[in-house]
Amino acid sequence: MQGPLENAIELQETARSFRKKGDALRKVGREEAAMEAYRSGLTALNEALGLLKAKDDMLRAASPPLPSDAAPDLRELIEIYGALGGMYQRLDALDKSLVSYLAGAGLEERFGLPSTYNRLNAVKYSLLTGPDPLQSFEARIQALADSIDASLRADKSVSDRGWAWADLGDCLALLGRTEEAGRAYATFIAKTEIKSPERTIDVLKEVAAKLQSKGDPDAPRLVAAIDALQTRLVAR
Amino acid sequence: MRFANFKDDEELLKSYRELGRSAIDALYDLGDDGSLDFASYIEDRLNRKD
Repeated sequence: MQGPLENAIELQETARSFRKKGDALRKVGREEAAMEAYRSGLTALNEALGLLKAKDDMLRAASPPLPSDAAPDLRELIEIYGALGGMYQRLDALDKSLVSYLAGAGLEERFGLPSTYNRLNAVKYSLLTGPDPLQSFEARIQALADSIDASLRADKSVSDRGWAWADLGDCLALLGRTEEAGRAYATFIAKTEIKSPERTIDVLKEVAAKLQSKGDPDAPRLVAAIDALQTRLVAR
Repeated sequence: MRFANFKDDEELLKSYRELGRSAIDALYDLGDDGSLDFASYIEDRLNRKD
């Protein structure tokens, strides 16, 4: 008989499948069916989260270092919070995306994990949904960039996975370090063999548009960085 | 292998479902209308309880 963790992993797989289904249906314009798929995915993820609730509470109450037998639960919880954020985003519930990413970010940060997916998205969705300017996040973004850079240098498996390079590119783009961001995205493309970091740049574009609408003084800098990155990546 | 044993064999049933889900995911990746309809057909078959 399976335990809560194994069941949560299966539910995550089910949710991933619903997400793929939703994306495919949305792409061909079957919006209602896509939303239904995303809602089913959301149900699966919330069920998975419910199964690991006791572990979640225990981890949030525990002091680092991570208890030796808790690593698989922590890894799964972080995955679930990240997936929930993405599912809510597809359902256009950005406030709830932010809540999920913040919950995942709390765990990533508490135990000093190399994964930065939730932390970076917590910054992006704070920018998308909140009133604070880009400048107020600079220290956090810089710390994230430093953390990713350190993980990439220390752990070949992190470097090989590719997504860390996309996260680094995002951080550097948000910091206005366009040349370095371009190099990070180029490495991401080479590692993952995809044509372009389209989705991650789309989110950055949304952030830039939001900053522009708020009259953020750093908005033109981010827009210019995105333009330069797109030109550079298309020209490859 | 006799199909009569199929539903009684939990491991085999699990493999069948996993294989089905993999096929469905691949069809979602293809993403054209025909692939989506075929994915939907497989999904219905997997969800059958009888």
